[in-house]
Amino acid sequence: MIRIVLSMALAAALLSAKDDKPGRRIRLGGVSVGGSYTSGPGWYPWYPYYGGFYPGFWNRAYLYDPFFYYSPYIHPGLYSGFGYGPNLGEVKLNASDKEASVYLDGAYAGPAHKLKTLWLEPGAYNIELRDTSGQSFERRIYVLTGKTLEVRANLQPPKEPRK
Amino acid sequence: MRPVISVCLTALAVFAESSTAVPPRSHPVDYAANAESKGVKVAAEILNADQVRNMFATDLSNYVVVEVAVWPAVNKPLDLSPVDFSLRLDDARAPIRPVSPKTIAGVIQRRGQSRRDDITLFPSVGVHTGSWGTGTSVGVGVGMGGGPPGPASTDRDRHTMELELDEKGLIDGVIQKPVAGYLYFPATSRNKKLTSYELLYESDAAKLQLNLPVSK
Repeated sequence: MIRIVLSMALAAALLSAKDDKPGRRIRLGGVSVGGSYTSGPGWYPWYPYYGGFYPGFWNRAYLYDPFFYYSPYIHPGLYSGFGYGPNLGEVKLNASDKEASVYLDGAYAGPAHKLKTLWLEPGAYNIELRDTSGQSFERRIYVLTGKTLEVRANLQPPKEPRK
Repeated sequence: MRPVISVCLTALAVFAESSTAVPPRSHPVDYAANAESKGVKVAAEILNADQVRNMFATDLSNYVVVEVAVWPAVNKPLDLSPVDFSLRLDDARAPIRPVSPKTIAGVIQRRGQSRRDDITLFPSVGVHTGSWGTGTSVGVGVGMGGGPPGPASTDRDRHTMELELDEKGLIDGVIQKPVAGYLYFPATSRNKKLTSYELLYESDAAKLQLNLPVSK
C-alpha cells in the first residue's frame, strides 16, 4: 500500500484584549487548516479469515506498509497555541557582543547568540553578561508569567575602583 | 545604654541604605522639583508612562509613580517612611497616601486571574482526497476556563511584583546618607490628565511641599 499524506498546520493566533479589561472574553486559541491525500488499497483491506471478513493488514505481507508507523504524518489539529510555556515569562536579550557569556544568578547559561529569547519561571534574577575583553553588563530583572521583558545589554568596560 | 542605642541606630541606617536599588542623583536640582526645610532636602520627579513601562516589569498603568530622593540634615539621622509623603491631585480633594507594594501586587494578580474565565475557540478546516473520493471537514472546539494563567496572575507573580516594587521603592527606616526610591500613588485616567501634582512631606523632622510638573 502506498500512502501519501500531506498535512499542514497553520499557526495558532492568539487574540487577546487589553490587560486592563478584566472579565470574560472570547478569544481565538488557534486556527488549523489541513489537507490529506490517500491512495492504494487502503489501510485496512478486507480479506477472508475463518470464513468471514475482518479488517487488518498485518497477516498480509503484500499489504505491508513500511511507512505506516513511521510516516511523517502531522495531525492537522496540531496546536501551537500560546507560545512556549504557559507558566513562563519571556526575556528577549539583545547583547552588543553576541559572543558574550550569559550568567543567570551567577550560573553560566550559554553564549548570548544562543540566548536571544529566554523563557523563565516568574521571579527576580540577576542577569550578567561578560566577554573575553573584560567588558560586562549586569542587571536585576523581574520575570512575570505571560509578559515579555526586553533587555538591551550594552557591555561596558569595568569601572576603576575609587581611590 | 546610649552607645547601644547609637550602634543599633547606625546598624539600622546602614541596612536601610544598602537595601535601596535606586541611587540618588548628585544634587537635588537634578530633579524636576526640590525643597528644603530644617536641613532636610527632598527632591522628586514624576515618571511618565513610557518611563514606567521601561523601568518596571509590573504593570503600573493605574498608578502615578514618583521618584523621590531625600537628603537628611548633616549629622542628624532621619527616620524616613513612605507614609510621610502624600500627593494632592487638586485643591478640592484631600491628599492621597502611597500604596504599599503588597497591595499593588495583590490587585494586579487578581486582575490577571479574572482572565482565566475566557472562552477559547479552536476552529479547524480540513480537505481529504484519495482514490476513495474527496471529503471536507469543518469543526470548532470550544474551551472554557482552565486555560493558561493570565499575565502576572500566579502566586509567584504576586511575590515577584511585590519584590520589584519593594526593592525599587523608597525605603522605610533610619537614614544618614541621601537615598532615593519610588512611591506609587493610585490614579484614575482623569487624574492623569492633570498637568501638575503637589507632593507633601510631613514628619517630625520637616514639612515640605513640592509642585511636580507632569512630563508627557
